[in-house]
Amino acid sequence: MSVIMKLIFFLLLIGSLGFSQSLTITSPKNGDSFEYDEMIEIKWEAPSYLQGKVKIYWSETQRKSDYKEIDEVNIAEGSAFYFSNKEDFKNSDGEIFLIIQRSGVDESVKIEIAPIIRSRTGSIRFTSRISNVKVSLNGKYEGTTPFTKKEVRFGSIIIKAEKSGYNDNTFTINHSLKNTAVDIKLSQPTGTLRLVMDELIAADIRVNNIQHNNMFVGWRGNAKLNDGWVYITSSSKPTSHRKLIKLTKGNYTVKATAINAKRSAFVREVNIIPNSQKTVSINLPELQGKLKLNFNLSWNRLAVSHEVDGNNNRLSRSDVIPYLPLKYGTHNFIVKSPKYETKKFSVNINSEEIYAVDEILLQKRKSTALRKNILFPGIILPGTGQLYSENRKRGLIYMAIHVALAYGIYDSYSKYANYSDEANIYKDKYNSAVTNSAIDENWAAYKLNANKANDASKLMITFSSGLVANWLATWFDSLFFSELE
Amino acid sequence: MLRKIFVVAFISLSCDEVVIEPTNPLDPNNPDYIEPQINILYPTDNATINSSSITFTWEGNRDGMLFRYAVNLDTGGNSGEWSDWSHDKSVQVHYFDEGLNSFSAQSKYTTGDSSSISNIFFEVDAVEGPSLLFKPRAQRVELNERFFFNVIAEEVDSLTATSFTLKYNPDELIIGTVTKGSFFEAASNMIFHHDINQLAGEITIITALLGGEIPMVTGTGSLAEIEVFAKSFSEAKIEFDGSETFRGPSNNIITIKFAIGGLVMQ
Repeated sequence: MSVIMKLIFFLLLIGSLGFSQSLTITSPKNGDSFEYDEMIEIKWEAPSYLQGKVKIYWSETQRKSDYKEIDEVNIAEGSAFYFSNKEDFKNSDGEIFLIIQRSGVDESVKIEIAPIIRSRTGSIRFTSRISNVKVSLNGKYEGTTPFTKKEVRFGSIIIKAEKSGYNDNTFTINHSLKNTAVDIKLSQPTGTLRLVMDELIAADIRVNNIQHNNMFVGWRGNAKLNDGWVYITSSSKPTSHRKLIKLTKGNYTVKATAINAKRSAFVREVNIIPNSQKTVSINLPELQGKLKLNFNLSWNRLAVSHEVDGNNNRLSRSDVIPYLPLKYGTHNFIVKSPKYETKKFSVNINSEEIYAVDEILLQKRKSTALRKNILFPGIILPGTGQLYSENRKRGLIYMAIHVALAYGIYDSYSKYANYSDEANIYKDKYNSAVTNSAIDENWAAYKLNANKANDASKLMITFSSGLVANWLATWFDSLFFSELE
Repeated sequence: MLRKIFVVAFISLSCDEVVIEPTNPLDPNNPDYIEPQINILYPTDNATINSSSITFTWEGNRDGMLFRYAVNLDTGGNSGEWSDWSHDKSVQVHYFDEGLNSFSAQSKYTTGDSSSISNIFFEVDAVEGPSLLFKPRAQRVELNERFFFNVIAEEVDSLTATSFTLKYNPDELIIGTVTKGSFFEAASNMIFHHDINQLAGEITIITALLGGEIPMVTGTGSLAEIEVFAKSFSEAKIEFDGSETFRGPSNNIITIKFAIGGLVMQ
């Protein structure tokens, strides 16, 4: 007999029994179906004189012995709500009856029973970016992705995904929908690429075009920096820094270029094997140009110095033959030769080509030595002309004499100033004295200091004369004894 | 560089020789030194002063000078001694005797250099005769010192006789002897009588010319000399009691204009 027929039978039966209490289920209706987790509202109508509670039952059959109580509700409420996945319904077969019965009353109540149909299985679609992943559900192989498994019973399902060359992935889902989609992810086994930089310069570092730039921000000690780079330190200064990168098996290209400096680019191929570590030391040597130097004197007569970090490094012939490699930037040089003018020049290197520089050294001249003694700096420190003409000993003697005489002038002048001040003080006291003793005493002191001041003045004039004479002597010396042309 | 040259030259040339020369005006070695000087401003030399109290003024040639003075220095008159050095440029002296007096002054620098002494002479004519007065009018004595007063007839005309009584404090003064003065001494015949009442402190003197070719005197002269001893006091006086008389040869009364006693100071 069909469901509908069963229903009609019940209605007739109840009616034939003369069920006088008109308790009527208004919702749901016969044949209504609900999803598993859908809200079921059971509504009823009852005459107002009916008081108390009603019991609500469900049953898979119409036998009273199969009735299972759901709830007991005040009849006046008129409705009750239950989820279709209510625990009591869970073990049903999908087709149940709802019964409302007024409790404690021997009288039967006219009821209507509405059967409910509920779904308890659903479909699961398995997909993955990785092709042909084998999928097992609760230990049973079900297929390879992509595929759909139908009529999967609701509940907790253990899913295992596996493929050769990938790590197995086992996980659990709670299946409760009619249609579920599961995207399978599998990870590949990885190895470790260890990047190391000893020289701490900012660089654009890429591994298969994925950036792993080091952003050097300052002395930090052992701490994590940008993007996973870590300092390796043995003291307060970092000696290098490194980064560990997890990569899947395969070949990778490590490329590095300096960001703010002129450096050669770095490229290295590396093969990553799972569960092992490969180290790549990134080295970015500075770009260099080549300097070729030519002078009008033979090398053995020259002293050539290259200024590096504030120090003048003497260059040997082997340093510059065939050329001198130089980093990018401006380089200063000094070239000296006895009896020749010192030559200073600069070279700006900005490419890797060869830079040829020709420099002519000029001979020192007597007129220059004389001018140096007559004018600046000889006017301040005589003997500079002698130093220029490389008569070092005589130059130093003139300078020493000059310094001694200058000191003598300074000392004499100081004494003159002091004594004349004292003399003026005593002179004032003498002029304002009103007793013989005060007059005599201050006069004597005034006279004494005045004489000393005058002596100091004479001495100063003597020293000044000596100073001038020394200065003139340097002229004479430069004119006749400089050994210059 | 030129600046450096100038610096050296400047230093060298800016050291002027320190000139040593005495410039203190008080230093005798100063070529411009002026010795201390004194100039008595008042009274002028040979002036006649109509008062027995005179204010003398003087000046020096520099500020800050010291001065001293003396009255009747060589005459042993009222003072006869130098005052202490001070910066005062004036002094008032009282009780000058009639007649010629002198005032001396001297200045000095604080260094001790002093000026020469400047003297002036002046005539004191404070009392108009005929009068009786003491001479000296005032004198300063020591305790128990012996000193003298002369009773002077001042500017009398034809005086023949006189009598007067002097009063004094016997606790302050002791009168020794009273002798006749020189005014009547030239006469061949004269009387001089005196009476000393030491307890009462009175001296009565009567003196007259008796006959002779010239039984009268004219002018100023001493009628009596009184010897006095000083007891302890600060000031003592011998004064006329108001009974003094002058008579002429005809026993005519000559009006006495002033009767000025003597002052003793210790």
